[in-house]
Amino acid sequence: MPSVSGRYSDGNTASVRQVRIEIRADGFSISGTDGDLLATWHFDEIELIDDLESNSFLTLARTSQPGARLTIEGAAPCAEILAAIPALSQRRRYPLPSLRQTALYAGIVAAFAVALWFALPKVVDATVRLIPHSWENRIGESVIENVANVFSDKTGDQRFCSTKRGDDALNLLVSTLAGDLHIDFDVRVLDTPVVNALAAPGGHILLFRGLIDQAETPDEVAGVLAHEMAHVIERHATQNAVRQLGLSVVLRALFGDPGMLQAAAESAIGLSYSRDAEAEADRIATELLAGAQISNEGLVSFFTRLAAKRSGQEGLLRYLSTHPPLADRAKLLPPSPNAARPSMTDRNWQRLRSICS
Amino acid sequence: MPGDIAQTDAYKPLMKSHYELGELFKIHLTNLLFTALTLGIYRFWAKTRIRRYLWSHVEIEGDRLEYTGTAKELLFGFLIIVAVLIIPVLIVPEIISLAAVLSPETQSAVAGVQGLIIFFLIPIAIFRARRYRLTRTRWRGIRGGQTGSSLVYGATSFFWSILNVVTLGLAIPYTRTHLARYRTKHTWFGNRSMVLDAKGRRLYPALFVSFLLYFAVLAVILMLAAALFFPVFQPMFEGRTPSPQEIILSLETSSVQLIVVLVSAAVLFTLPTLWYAATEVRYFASCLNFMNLEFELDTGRWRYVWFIWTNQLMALLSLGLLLPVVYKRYVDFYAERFRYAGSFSERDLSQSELGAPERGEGLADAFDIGGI
Ligand SMILES: [Zn+2]
Repeated sequence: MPSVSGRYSDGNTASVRQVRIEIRADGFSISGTDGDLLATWHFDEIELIDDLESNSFLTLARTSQPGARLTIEGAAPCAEILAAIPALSQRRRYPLPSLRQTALYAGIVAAFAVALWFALPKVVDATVRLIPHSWENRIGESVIENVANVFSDKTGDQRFCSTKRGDDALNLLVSTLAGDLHIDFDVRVLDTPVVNALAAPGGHILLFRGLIDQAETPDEVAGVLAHEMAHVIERHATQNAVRQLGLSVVLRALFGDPGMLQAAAESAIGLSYSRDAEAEADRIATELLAGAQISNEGLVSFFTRLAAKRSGQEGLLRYLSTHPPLADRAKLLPPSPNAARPSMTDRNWQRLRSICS
Repeated sequence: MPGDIAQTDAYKPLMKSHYELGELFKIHLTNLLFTALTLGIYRFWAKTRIRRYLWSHVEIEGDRLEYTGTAKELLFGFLIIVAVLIIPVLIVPEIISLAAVLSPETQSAVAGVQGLIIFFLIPIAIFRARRYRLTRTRWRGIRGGQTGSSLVYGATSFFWSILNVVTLGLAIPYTRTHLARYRTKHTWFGNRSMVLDAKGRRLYPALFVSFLLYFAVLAVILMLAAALFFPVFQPMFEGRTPSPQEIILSLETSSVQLIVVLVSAAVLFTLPTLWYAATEVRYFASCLNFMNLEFELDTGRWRYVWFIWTNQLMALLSLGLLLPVVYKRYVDFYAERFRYAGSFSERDLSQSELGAPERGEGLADAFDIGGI
């Protein structure tokens, strides 16, 4: 009978003994160096705990003797054990999937992720359609409310600029641009020197006073307004909120608490979609302007001027910004139609400019 | 008596490391690849694979450690945390605050409560993860275990952190020692528990040195900032106050200097903490007792500081790619320097009868605690 030497502990105490393992037809006889029989292990109850150092270190366990361990060291003795129990490598107590299995599952998950990436806009679109208008409107109100609180040091209605004539001039411009669209636009001017404009869910648009102050022609205001109206038409703000929420739910369920990885994934995904949305808004803005027979040169010149002003921020920030580079946007806009007319009369332009005084 | 470890007065190393960088990298890199491909789901298998290696390549008294945890246990542990914690505490409030259009004040109150819950849960997660790892560790077939209550541990940690803040750090030696005693007292191997006979007051000299270090680092950073941002302060030297626009403009044009200051601050401000930790880890090692064995960590403080510092920088700067090097350095360090003296009867160390959790580490995984 072949036999190899090993170390044996019985699972009851931490004492370990040098043993001889006799390999018989149906199992091992384990006996101490003094010859007394310690245990008999049958092949079909032997499990593999570890095989280390390319099969020259084996740790075996026995199902009916919890905690008992048999350790065999050396290439030759291990080979004899493996030859005695050919199925040993399949009898791991704590199996892990093989590399091939893992690669297969990883491939399937990755394919799902790619499919989800392409399906996401459609899923978001369908979800946005399900949201009742009143709900969207309330969310928009609260966005406007928050933005107004951040950018204006006044309170209540004081935060928004409004004069009878100014409002009329603004509303005329909105309805000119809207043409025969059946959408309720709610355009307000926020009393702040910051140059900006935004479209919130539910048709709410905020023009910042700084933007009207800095605009050199009414066509520039018309261009930016058309861009924001395009966001409203496409419900970009609502889509954005739904996508952000959905992503954060999915990523949280995957990773748990938002760590760096999740934040990075979230903003990277958000970024790529919002750049698309901006390009789309620019395109639709050009259509709105064309429909109202207004030149889009205002939009171009405004972007170009902003780009020149913010040239210090380009470079790295250019890739992190949610908006495409302003200079690139100016270049991408198509030339305006020939039959262009001014977006508003000189008198209305003056009334709009003094809406905050 | 046969099987007894020979009695010697000298300290000798407890562990022997069999780590090989090539093997570790092979496991680590495939782990990273599959974790990325599966959007993170593979991480439970990844953790189990690397732990198998890390445990089984540590030798104590001629026998290897054994890691008996499985990926399924980790996965189910995490799924339960998703169901009972992440969805109700983190996700549902987010949806409600968006749908119900809460006021900004209510929203920040909700976020504050969420933050408090997570802050309270982190020590609980640490304690529970310890229990899981101990019960999944075997040596010569004998299993580890942990008694004590994670809720008690969490509540104590919570109040101790408040106390630390209120006392401006003066309570740290007491609170940290108290928690370490609690953890050690409830750490079992087989039928024996450990004892940490440590007194918090013995760590006050180290605390004061680390306070001094803290102010020294602060002074260095301030001087560095003053030197690099001289243009910002120039008007002040000329006797006038710079306008806000001037300050913003000069900060915008000196972003490289700003990065230099922030990075050196981030690196240097770890020094005082590490110096305290070095003193603490040596002191705790000398206070540890298991079956009448005595222990020591044979390292100078600065060596320990350098060791941890370089490990952390390596892990951070390589974005985790060099973790195998960190693992190997860690275990090699302890294999060389963590020693014990005395002898114990192996027959008196018998199998653990403590219960073991069925699932693993959900909380710790959810908050990304624990590293390996
Ligand atoms: Zn836009």
